[in-house]
Order: sequence, then C-alpha cells, then structure tokens
Amino acid sequence: MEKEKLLEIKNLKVKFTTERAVSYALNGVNLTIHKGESLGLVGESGAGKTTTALSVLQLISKNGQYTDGSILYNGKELMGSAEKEMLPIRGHKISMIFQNPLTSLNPVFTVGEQIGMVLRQHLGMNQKQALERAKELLETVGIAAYRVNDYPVQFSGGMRQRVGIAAGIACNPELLIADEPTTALDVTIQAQILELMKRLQKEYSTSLLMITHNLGIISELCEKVAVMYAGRIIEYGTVQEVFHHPMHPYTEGLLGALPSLDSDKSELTAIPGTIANASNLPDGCRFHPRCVSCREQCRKQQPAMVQINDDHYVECFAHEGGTV
Amino acid sequence: MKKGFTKLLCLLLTLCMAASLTACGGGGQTEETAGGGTGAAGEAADAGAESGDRSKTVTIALSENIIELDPHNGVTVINGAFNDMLFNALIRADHEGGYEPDLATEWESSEDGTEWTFHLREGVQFSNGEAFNADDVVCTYQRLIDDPTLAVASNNWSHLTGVEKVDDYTVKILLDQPIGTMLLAVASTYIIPNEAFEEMGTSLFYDQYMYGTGKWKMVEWVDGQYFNMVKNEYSWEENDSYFDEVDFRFVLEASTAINSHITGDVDAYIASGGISADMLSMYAGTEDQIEIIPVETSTIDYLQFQCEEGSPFADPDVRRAFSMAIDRQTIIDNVFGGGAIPIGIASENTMGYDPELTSDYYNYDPEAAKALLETTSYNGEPIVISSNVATTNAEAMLLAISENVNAIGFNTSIEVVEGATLLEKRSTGDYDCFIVAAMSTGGDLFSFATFRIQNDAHHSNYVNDELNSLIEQAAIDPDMDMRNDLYRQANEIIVEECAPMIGILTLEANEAISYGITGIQLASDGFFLFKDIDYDPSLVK
Amino acid sequence: MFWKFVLRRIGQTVIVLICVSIIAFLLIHIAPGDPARIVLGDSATDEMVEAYREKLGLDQPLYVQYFKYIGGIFKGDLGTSTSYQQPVAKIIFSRFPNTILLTLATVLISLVISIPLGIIAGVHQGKAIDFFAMLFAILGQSMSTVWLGVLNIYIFAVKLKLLPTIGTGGLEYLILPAITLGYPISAQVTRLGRSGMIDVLREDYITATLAKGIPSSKVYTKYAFKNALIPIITIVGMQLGVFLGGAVVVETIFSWSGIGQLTNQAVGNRDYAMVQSLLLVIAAAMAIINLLVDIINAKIDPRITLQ
Repeated sequence: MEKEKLLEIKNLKVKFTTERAVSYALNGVNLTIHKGESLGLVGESGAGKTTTALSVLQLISKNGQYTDGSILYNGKELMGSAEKEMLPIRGHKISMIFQNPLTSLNPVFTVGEQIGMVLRQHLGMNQKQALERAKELLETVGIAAYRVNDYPVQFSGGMRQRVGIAAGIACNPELLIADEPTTALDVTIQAQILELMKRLQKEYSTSLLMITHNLGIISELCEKVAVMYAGRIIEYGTVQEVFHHPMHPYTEGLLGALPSLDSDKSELTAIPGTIANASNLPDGCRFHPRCVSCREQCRKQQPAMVQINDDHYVECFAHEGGTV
Repeated sequence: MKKGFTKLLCLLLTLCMAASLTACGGGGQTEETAGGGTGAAGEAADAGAESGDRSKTVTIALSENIIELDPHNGVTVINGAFNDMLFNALIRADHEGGYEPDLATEWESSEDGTEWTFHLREGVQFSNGEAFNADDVVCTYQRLIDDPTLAVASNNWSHLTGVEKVDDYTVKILLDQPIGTMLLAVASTYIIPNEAFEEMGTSLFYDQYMYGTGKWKMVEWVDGQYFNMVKNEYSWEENDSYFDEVDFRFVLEASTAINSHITGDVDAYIASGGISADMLSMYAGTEDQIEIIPVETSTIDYLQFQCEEGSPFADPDVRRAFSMAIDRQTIIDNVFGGGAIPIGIASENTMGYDPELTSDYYNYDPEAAKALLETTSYNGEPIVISSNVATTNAEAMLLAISENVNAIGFNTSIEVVEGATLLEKRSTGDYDCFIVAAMSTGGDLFSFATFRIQNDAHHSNYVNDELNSLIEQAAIDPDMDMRNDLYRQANEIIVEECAPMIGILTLEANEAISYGITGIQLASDGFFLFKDIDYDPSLVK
Repeated sequence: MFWKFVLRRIGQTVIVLICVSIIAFLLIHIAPGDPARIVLGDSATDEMVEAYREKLGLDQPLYVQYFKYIGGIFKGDLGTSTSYQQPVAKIIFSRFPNTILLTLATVLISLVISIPLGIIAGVHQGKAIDFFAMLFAILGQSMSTVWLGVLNIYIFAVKLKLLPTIGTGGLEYLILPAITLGYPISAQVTRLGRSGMIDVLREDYITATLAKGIPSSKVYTKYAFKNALIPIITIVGMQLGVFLGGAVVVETIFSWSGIGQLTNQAVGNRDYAMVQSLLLVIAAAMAIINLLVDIINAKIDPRITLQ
C-alpha cells in the first residue's frame, strides 16, 4: 500500500544573484516524502540541501529567486505563498531544526522564550501556559526544567541543539526538517541527539526529512534516502537498496569513501575532482567531469530519472535500461 | 539601484558640506529674506503703537555676560551700565568729560588737594528703606582702604588714606597726595548701605539684595541669562519712565541677538565695542523699525613696542618706519568699516587732543618708511605681532599690518592668542609688539598714561623721564585745563618717539535701538547708560 | 553575577574620577596665564599680584593645593570662583540643570525619530524609505552645528515666528537647541540602527525565528530589535556624556545658559577652582552615564555578565 504523499517537490529551481555571479543552487529537484516516513537527504556541502529545506518554508534569502517548480504540501501549493499563508505552516505543520546550534538561537532571549514563542503563536497559549509547557519540552529533550529562564550562552552546543529540537517539536509538526543537526557536535553528543530523535520519531510518528552528509546517520534513522548533487536528486530509494546497490557513480564514490571497521579495504576511495561550482555548472550531466564511467552522451545531455525497481531510482545514462 | 543610490548620496553629501561651509562664514541675509523681516517686525511695532499698550517691560540684548556683581569690583562696561542704574556715587560722570552732583550736592578741596569735603544730599533712601547719610559714605570708602585689591580701589584710589564723618551730611575724604582724577575716582565709587553691608557683608551683592539709591532696583540675576530691574520706589530721583521693568538679556552670539531684535523679542542690541560691521547687513530692510546708531568712541587700538636693549624696536627709527608703513585708513575702511586715525594716543573724545597735531609717522608713506628702515641696523630679524582674541577683528588687522610692514622690509608674522596668555606675556615683556584695545573712561587719559606708560605695566622697557614727569604731573594737578595741556604735551612726545606705543585707530561702534526707545546714552568713551530709558510712541514709525 | 559586575564597574568609575581630578588640576595649572593678574587687571602692581596669589593659595606647592581642593570636595566646597567671587558650587549648579534638561531633550527627540527610522531602513534595505533615511542621516552628519543652529533660528523664530529666539527654560526655548544638537546624533543612530538591523537580519537565529512561524513584523520589532539596540545604546550613552559636558556652540547660539559656555568662560579667565570643578562634575556625569549604559547593556545582552 502506498503511503499518502505529504510533501511533493517538483522540478524546483532556485538561483542566487550576487554582485559577482549568479549561482544556480537548485536545478530541478524532485523529491517526495510520505506520511510517517523518514527520508535522508545526503550530499556534499554546497549541493543545495539547505536551500531545498528553506524553499519548503519559503524562507530563502533575499538574493535568491525561485525560477521554476512547485512544492505541494498535502496537495496545497506552497510556492509563491504570501507570508500570511505560510505562518500557520511554519513551526506548526512543518518545523525546522537548524544546523549550527551556536548561531541558531537568539542570544538575548531565554530558551524558555524561544520555545514558548511557537506555543503562543500557534497553540494560543498565554505566557504562563507556554512557560509550563516549555519546561515539559525541555525535560523531554533531556534538559532540566529549571533552566527554562537561562540564556543560550549558558548551554553547551549539544544542549542548545536540544533546545532547537524542543522548539521544533513543540507544536507536534507533521514534518520535521532537520538540517545537519549533529554536524557541529562531537561524536558522543551526536549519538545522544540521534537517540533522542529516534525516540521522538517513534513517539510522535512525525515525518522526517533528515539532511546530512553523514551516511551513518541515514542508515540509523531513515527508511528512504535521496542523494543530491549540483542541485538535483541523482539517486533515490530505500536505504537498503541504495546503500547496498548504489547505481550512480557518485553514490558509489560516497559509499566507497566511507571508512568501515569491518571491511578489508586498506584505503579510502576519494571521488576525483571537486564539487561542481554552482555558478559555473558543466554541461550535460553535472557529474560528468568527475565520473569514471563518463561517456560522450554524458557531456552533452542531462540524464532523466529512471526507475530501477520499486524502491530505487537513478539519473544516469549508465543505467538507462530501467523503466521510467 | 544600489550603486546609483550611493552615488546620489555622495553628491548630496558634498553639496551639503559645501553649503554649510559657505554659510558658516557670514550670516548676512539676502534682500528677499530681509523684506520678510520688515513685514513681520513692522507688524509687531504697529500693533504696539496702535493699541497704545506697548509693554511696560523693555528688553535689551547685551553681548557679554555680567560676572562680578560687587559694584566695587566689577568694572567692565556692563558693570558700569548696571551700577549706574542701581546705585549713585557722590558725583556722576557723564562719560563725556563732565561731572555733576549726585549724592553730594557740593564739594570743595583743601589748598593742597589732599582733603576733600563733600556735602551730602538729604532725604535719600536706599531701596530697602535705609536712610542715606555720611555713615554710608564712610563704609564705602573705608572698604576700599581696607581692601586695595578691589578693582575700584586699585584703579582709582592708590592714594586714598582715610575717610571721616564730619556730621550726618558732611564727609571728608583724605589722600596722601593730590590726584588729578579725583572727580572721576569719586564718580566710580558707588555708595553702598552701611547697615546692610555690616549685617551681611558681600552677601549684599552675591545674594542679590543690591540695595542702592539708584532709579532702578535689582529683581533677579540668572547667570548667563538675564538681569532684571524694576523701578526703585525709594529713588530720590524721580523715575517717571514709561517702563516699569528693564530686562537685560545676555546674548553672546551676534546673529542670534540681531534675529531677536528683528523679531521683536528684544528692543535694542547693545554690543561692547559695537556690532561687528559684517553683521550689520542682517538689519537690512528694518530701517523703519530699528535705528543703527554709529558712535565715534575713544576706544583705541594701539600697538606697543618692546623697546629694551637688543630688540629691533629699541631704535626709534625702526619704530617710526614701522608706523609709516601702516595704511591705517585702508584698515579702517576694509576691516572695520568705520573709525578714525588717532595721532598718538589722544583722540577727539579724550584729553590731550590737539586738532592741529600732525605727524609724518602717522601718514601712510611706504617709500619714506622703506628709506628710513634702510638707514637702521635692522636686518630682517623676525618679529611677531601679537594680539588677543578679545580684540575685535584682531586677525584681519594684524594680517593687514604685517603685509604693510613686510612690504617695506620688515620680517613679521602674527599670532592671536587667548586673553590670559597675552596678559602673561605682557606681564613679563615677552613680546616684540602687540595690539590691544583700551578704553578711557570719561575721556580721561589717567588710567592709560599712568599704568601703561609711566608704570609700564606691560613692560615695554621704554623709559622717557620727560614723558613720565608730564604724566605724573597730569595725574596730580587738580586743574582740568592744566591736565589737558600736560597730556597734550605727553602725546606729542609719544607721537614723535613712536614709543612706547603708536595709535592705530579709534573704534566706531554701531549699536541698534528700536525706534521709540529713548534715554539710552551711548557715550563716546564706549560706556552705555540706561538710567533714563524711556518710551516715546511718537518716534515709532 | 550581575551585581558583581555592577560593583566592579562602580569601583572602576571611582578610579577614573580620581585620575580625572588629577589631570584636570594639572592641566589648568600648567596653562600660561595668571588668575591673579586677570582678576586684578592692568592697574595692579607686581606686589599686588603676588599678594593676591598668596591669598588664593597659589604660592603653595601643587600637591598641597590639590589635596586642599580634594578635601574641600568632601565638604561640598568646590572652592571660590575668582571671576564670580562666589562659591563655585553655587554657580555650577545654577547652570547644570539647564544642561541636563537640554541633554535629555536632545536625546529624547533624536531617539524618538532615529531608532524607528533606522530599524525600518534596515528592514527595507534598498527601498525608498531606506534612501530617505540615509539622506536624513548624511545631511545630519555633514551639517555644521553653527549653520544648523542659526538656520533654525532664522526659519522658526524669525520667518515663521513660531518660537522665541533666545532664552533658557521651558519647552518653547528647548525645542530649537535640542533639534540643533540632536540632529547629528539622530543621523548617527539612524545609521547604526540600520546597519545593526541589517547585520542582525542576516543571522541564522532570525531565519530560525521566521521558520517558527512568527510574523516578520513581530520578528523585526521584538526579536531583532533587541539585538540591534545594543550598539545604539552604547553610542547614545557616549553622546549623552558628551552633551552633559555642555554643548558650547549650541549654548552660545541659543543663549542657553549651560555649563559648556561656563567652562569656556572659566578657562578664558583662568578661574582654576571653577575649571577643576567643572571638569570633575562633567567627568562624574559621564562616568555615571557610562555606568548606566553598561548596566542597561548587561541587562539586554546576557552574554556580557555570563561569559
């Protein structure tokens, strides 16, 4: 039985214009998240993952522009919405946890205020009620309730991230977007945060869009995975499928680049070359300059997404054989 | 949009800075704007005249603050103006060289001039009701004997030895030698109430009681703001002025004072040394409402030389050449806009004036000056001409003089320093030459000649026994005509020697008074007298 | 934590004031010019000047004079003015309230205009309101105070006859000098508010706040505003301190009897006691303002006391 589609991103294109150059960050992103599903979005820094997330909330920065695409949430078009229409969705239906806990909390307001604001905004609580609930949420994420009136500067990075998570789940969102929530933290803290997220996921059956470049997290937490490169999804499928049978040379490279304690590899494979420059994208398949299986066709044409099987799709001329 | 934005802002910034810099210099209004001023001001004056209800308060803007309230220690022109309204002395000076009875009706001196007897006016009261009699005179003069550092004492009474009460209305003043300025000295000494003074001391002044016998009495002084007076109901001189109240405002900024005058916030603007020539143009268009009154004063800008051995000005010919090289008339015309050339230190309104006196050294003759300078041993030694910031147009005047004399071979530069600094330099003789302004109260040269020449207070190191003896005699001789002639002779020497100073110009002071305000006396010695201020509606245009 | 911070700052303030008193004392005593000679005038003989110097205690060694002065302060005696011949304290405190009034009015007027203007300009960067705000700011920072003051009198008092030309005291006298003094600060605060706002709006936490569904108007006026305020408060505090020192030019132009003009006069007269006390009073006022600014900042930005 196919799960109901919650979020459907179709052919999303975003460009950023600065005085120096135009950067094509997203070049036709197609992504679908189903209800109760956890999807990992993986790719190197600069691939466009955060931009995708911010696009969902219609919060890309002022020098950015949506040049094409649609974002359907529960069938409703979000693209081009006015602020008024987006307000009931942000923080309530769709919540986001930001990457850098040291900069994503306002230093001059208490953590209680920063959690309470969502409660007052969306759930109509008053000051007192919001404070009480904020305390409960802190406990939920493993922070002592009496710290509700402390300021972010009084917390460590890991604890600040927990505060961010608490604010994110405060209104019981349908979709939680976590943008590299553990990247800025050290490994032991990482593990704690992941445990927390797993627990929350089970308890609240929230859909999760987990953005990360860490494949280990994806395999821990997610059912599906989408691999992003140069502003496009180049491979998509269940974690099982994609991680055990990677199709795209880039995905292969990513997996090969993973150190593993129980493999007998003596060296890590690095993917040759550097990530595509969004201001200066190569023609044809964006990955072709770095691809070991590159052919003539790849230099000229952008491959379309083909279906390999029920749980696996890829964009690569090398695997043209599948059904579209 | 952003780049154009920035460029536009830069352009506006530049324009603005340029505009404010140019506007900063002058302050003169244009024709168009002045017209508007007349209209508004004219209306205000009309309103007053028509309704006949011109306010009973007259407001006068003064260019300086009053700081010292003690009538025996405050001797500035403003002090003089206020003291004249609040107090009386035994004799009153009219500031044109004349003296008349005030609190004394008659007086006589002994043969040798060391004992003066004054017969006092009866029926006079101070503004606190206290009766005036000999005790008050004794108290006043005794105070000056006891504390010779009080300005009135040090300026006038270095030879005062005693004061005696003969009876309630007769007093004797005793000196250790005769002085020629006795009348001026007495006129400068305001009588204070002895009972009040014994009771509260200087608090009488500093706590603003100021009980006096004058036509007006003090209401309040607020430092830096105003000084209010009302009619003194106890005054022995009838005060039938239209005005019940005189309100002096201290306005240090000329443009503001003039604007106040034009809008009618004040009825007159009286500036020490006169309203500066370049500011007068602000009054353009108000001729129907305000009268600009030029006063030829005896205030003199003079240049004093350092004449000690070894200095370039020790040689009289160097001094003469210097004097001849100065184009005084051009300075008067271009820098000051008015004034006269004094020959020496005497001028039309001072003692010792000789209308026949001429001198080559006071004629502008650069050729002769150059020739004379070449005969001397002056060899381009650098000379600094100094002045202080309080001297009107100091910098422009110094620049002009410097250019004049440099053109004939002098090597001069100029400096304009703070008042206190120049005072310091003068007290040690640390200067080459300096220019300052000096006033002579009542046109009497006593103060100038005795302190600045005979006593050489400013250490010019010029010693001329004949000159000093003339000055000394003039200080003592009780006969006015005799004194006049002595100063005339002294002046001749000063002119011939070009030492210790040369006269540059006497100031023409312009003051502004609204039509209808009468009784303000602008004396030729630079003082202002407001005692008889009144209002005549028929003069309002 | 917070109170420790406050106490420490108070301690620092006391030390600063002591240093100021020493420096002020030395400076005025070093300047050429003799107060005795100034008071006594040209007719004074050298002996009289000496005698007067002794009377004023100027013949004693500097450190003795200094400690006498400091001792007097604790008794409320700031010395006697040689020009007024009255207690310095009396003269200063008759004028100081005028300066305080002018300062407060100036700050009030300028903040009321410039903080909202700066914030709005920052939020709407590049749009028309931003342009006008920057125009306003640049004009304010490039105008000479003298020009602005005289212009204000000319327009509002002479031409429009709305306000009086001279005087100290109530509201009608206060407006023009306050605007004249306040405009340049307004300009500065507008720019600060704007750039501060622009910087703050770039921060991650603002995006995060918007992502929580808080309306942008609330984000700007509440959640970004507090952050942008910090540099503004510091600058305004500094300006406040400067103005408490008396704004000589504005005071002179508007005949506003404050301590700026008094200081000018006192220095010119080498009125030692007056100058020393004025400098001390001004320094004390500035120090207190700085202290208040630091305390307010510490309340707004918890990082100051917590880190």
